[in-house]
Amino acid sequence: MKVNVLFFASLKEDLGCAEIELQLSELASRADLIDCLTNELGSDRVASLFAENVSIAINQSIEKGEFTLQSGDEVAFLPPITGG
Amino acid sequence: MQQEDFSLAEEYEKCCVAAGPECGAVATFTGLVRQFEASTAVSGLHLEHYPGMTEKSMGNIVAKARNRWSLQHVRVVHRIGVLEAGSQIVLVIVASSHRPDAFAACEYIMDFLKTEAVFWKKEIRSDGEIWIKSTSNDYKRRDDWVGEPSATLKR
Repeated sequence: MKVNVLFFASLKEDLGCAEIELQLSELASRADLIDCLTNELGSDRVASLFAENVSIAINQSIEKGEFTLQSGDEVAFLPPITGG
Repeated sequence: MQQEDFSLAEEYEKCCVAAGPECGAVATFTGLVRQFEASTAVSGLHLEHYPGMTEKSMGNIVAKARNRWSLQHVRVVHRIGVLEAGSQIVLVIVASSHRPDAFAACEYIMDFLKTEAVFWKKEIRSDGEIWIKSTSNDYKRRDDWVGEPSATLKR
């Protein structure tokens, strides 16, 4: 299945891309996502995505724990936000 | 949310019309791009957002304020894109029957916009570009609202 992954702000700049499409197995877990991203981006860059101050949103809702992904899901990595 | 500038007068007028005859107090706050930050010249600010999620986060903040205080109307305008130093960034207008609710809700909305609205700001300075981070004071101001009785000013 295909999952779209988005990067914002400093993460987008550091990675040099705003989004990538991943091919994952059905009901891929957080660990599966990390494995797939590591293959695509390398372990150093993936470590910055799963840093403590980076939030993960699945279909625009923050997910703090484990998750499973479905076909067509949108995964976003959000560095610390600063509105207002 | 918009790239273009806003007019305080026009937004104020829209708020008053929407608030109706029971409105007796309107509080406004306008945030600007500072021209200096820690003695360093700032030429502008780049504001990035996440279409869809940003609107949802702003809607949640306003909904919490409306749930907490008795408000006739709330308008929030937040700009995105590249803004020059001195430009307006954000506008919050809150209408209520009496001033305590309007003042408190306006401050509450700003404190939560700082820490929970999905935006990213990059300062364009004379010495380079820096992604801004929320400060411990920003989080403290947000957290201070937890448990406060409604319709009162916290400070």
